[in-house]
Amino acid sequence: MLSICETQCITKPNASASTESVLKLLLSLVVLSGLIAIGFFHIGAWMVLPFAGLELVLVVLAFVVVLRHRGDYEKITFVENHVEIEQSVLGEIKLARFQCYWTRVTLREGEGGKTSLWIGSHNEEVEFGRDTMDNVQREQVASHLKRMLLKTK
Amino acid sequence: MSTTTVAHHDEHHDHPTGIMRWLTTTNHKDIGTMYLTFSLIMFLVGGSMILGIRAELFKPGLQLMNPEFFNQLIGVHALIMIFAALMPAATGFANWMLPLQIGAPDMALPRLNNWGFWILPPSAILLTLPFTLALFGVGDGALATGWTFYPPLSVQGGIGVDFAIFAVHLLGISSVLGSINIIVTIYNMRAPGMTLMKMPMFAWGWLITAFLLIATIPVLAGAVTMLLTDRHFGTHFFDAAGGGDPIMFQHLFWFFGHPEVYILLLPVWGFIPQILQTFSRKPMYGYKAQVYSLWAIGALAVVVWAHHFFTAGMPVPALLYFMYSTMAISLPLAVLFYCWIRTMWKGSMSFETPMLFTVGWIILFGVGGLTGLVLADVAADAQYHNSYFVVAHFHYTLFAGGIMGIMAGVYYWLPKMTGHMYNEKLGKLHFWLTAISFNVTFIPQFFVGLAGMPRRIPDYALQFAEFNMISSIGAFVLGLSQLLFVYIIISCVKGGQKATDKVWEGAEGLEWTLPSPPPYHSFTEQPVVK
Ligand code: HEM
Ligand SMILES: [Cu+2]
Repeated sequence: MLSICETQCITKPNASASTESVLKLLLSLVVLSGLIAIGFFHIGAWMVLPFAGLELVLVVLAFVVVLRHRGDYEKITFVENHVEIEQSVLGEIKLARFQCYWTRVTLREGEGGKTSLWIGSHNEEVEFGRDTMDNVQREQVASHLKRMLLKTK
Repeated sequence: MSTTTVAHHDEHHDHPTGIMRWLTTTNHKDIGTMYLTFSLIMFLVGGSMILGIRAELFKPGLQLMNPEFFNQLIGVHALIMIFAALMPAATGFANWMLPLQIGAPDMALPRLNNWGFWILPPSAILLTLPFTLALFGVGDGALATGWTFYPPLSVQGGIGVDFAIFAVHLLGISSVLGSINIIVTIYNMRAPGMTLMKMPMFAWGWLITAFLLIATIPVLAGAVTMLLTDRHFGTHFFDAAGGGDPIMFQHLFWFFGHPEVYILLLPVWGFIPQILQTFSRKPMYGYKAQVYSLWAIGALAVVVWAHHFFTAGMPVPALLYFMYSTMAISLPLAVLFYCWIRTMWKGSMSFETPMLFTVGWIILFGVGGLTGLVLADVAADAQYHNSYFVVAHFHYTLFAGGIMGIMAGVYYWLPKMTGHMYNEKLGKLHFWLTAISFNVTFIPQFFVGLAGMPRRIPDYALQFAEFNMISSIGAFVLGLSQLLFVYIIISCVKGGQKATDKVWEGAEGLEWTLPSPPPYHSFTEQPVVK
């Protein structure tokens, strides 16, 4: 998800599932697979059980991995003559501040045709929107930033 | 347009090219393309195998091969068509289209997605390797049990069975990884505003498919593992002499196997209504009714398995239960047929290739469903079980209902995926060749089946000679027509008239708002769902 306004760009991963709906889903999968595995266990086919268990663990893990990143965000804000970049991953917030006058915005070509967007000045550089944006969005953010920076120069 | 230039930056990462690009890609479109390509290749491999069978059956008597090899070809043909041709095609479409249709930048778990695909080629090799090994004097070829692995034959069989067991394990892992990814994607990656009941039907079809896979793959995995331990580690799960029960294997296998046939079709039932509404130029009829019917079929799918072995012997109440529950599936299926036909009703229809395939699909798949009802009748099935009637039934459902549906999807989305229009004239020719030769192949099989010709035999009574000859001729025309399909796809990938973004005049949905082909990563602005 990306939203851009004059002095701020925010990007977040898509998150359409509520915790409640995920819990309901997981519960229904556990009950369904569990009942089936226990049923077969009863007639002597106990080997279904470990496979069902393993699989359910995988399903839960997949949701945990994805949902843990639900609160992540990346934010660019223009404050007076500075650009502030705030990146929150799993609740850990990293801040970077650059003087507008010296700030460079670069779009680089990366793995498999995927671009990467870098913002920095002097020796420091920060990557922005690696997993939450696509190429076109990165380009959009880059040109917006460049326009904003030009105004301050 | 933006004026930002892209700087080449070498110190960071030189991105992989050639084979490495495909080995490591996590982009959903790349992975979708790999699935579809793999599927097409395996479709041709599985197809050539069955042409060997039809050549042998052209005349009564043994002509070309010994019965052992004949059985091996049949079993591997079925496993390949089901697990390596049909399922990967549906997964390929899911990868390509689900993120586009629900407005996501990619699948939820891109790396998992890559692994899910790369498990497939090794398992296809495992399935076919025993043929090659036999040429060098190792083992006695592939599994000769048919795709159903029934013991005691599968316990006594050669190394081909072990290879197939491992292949099935890998295929199962791949399906489970794919399903998990699809469930997470559909649940969590929808664009703001796209509630479940606003999702494209294709997403619904796949969501229920993923549910069924997660419910039933462990049963298959458990069953073939028990087979393996019976073979090599002295257990007696399926050995009556050791206190086990060979019929239990049939329960396990079909508990997976029956839902599997819906797993193969639910994704198709998802995009068929989308094609219908596009070429009828009016919204699909009964969206909610269709969603509920898909759920009903998904639920019934796991409680009807024993109709595959009515003749193995079970208590009369069980026979009655499985008969009526199986027949009950035709109710939600009838709702779907009604909705599909009502979608076309009074629409301003046009018959480009995808629509031709779709309309042909409705009719032929209908024949498959109706003949299923015949088989679901316990008394009738005592006669038809294990006969060619069953073979014809499941080819109307799986070739017409599955493969021809996939073909409709290929023609529908190919311009979107490649950015070029395919050759419409050749596409139509491909449809007519396929539809006609398909019927020439399988209608005679209904007749010989009714007259008592058993399935999986290399030789037959003289009375069946004419129908078998017709069927074989149909099969060869059907097989050769698919080369035309390959040619159409390759030339469409290579070039052709530019496709517009919308491609089809009546197309609706997020994927048609993107350029054709869509950029490497897809949505610029947050798509708005009305
Ligand atoms: C109303 C719908 C259907 C009914 C009532 C039905 C019923 C049956 C029955 C009773 C059999 C067992 C016949 C026997 O072995 O004696 C059978 C076999 C089979 N059906 Fe269906 N069926 C239906 C739809 C489908 C669909 C939609 C598919 C696939 C997508 C399908 C695929 C198969 C396959 C693959 C077999 C044979 C498996 C084997 O023995 O190798 N059927 N069907
Ligand atoms: Cu069935």
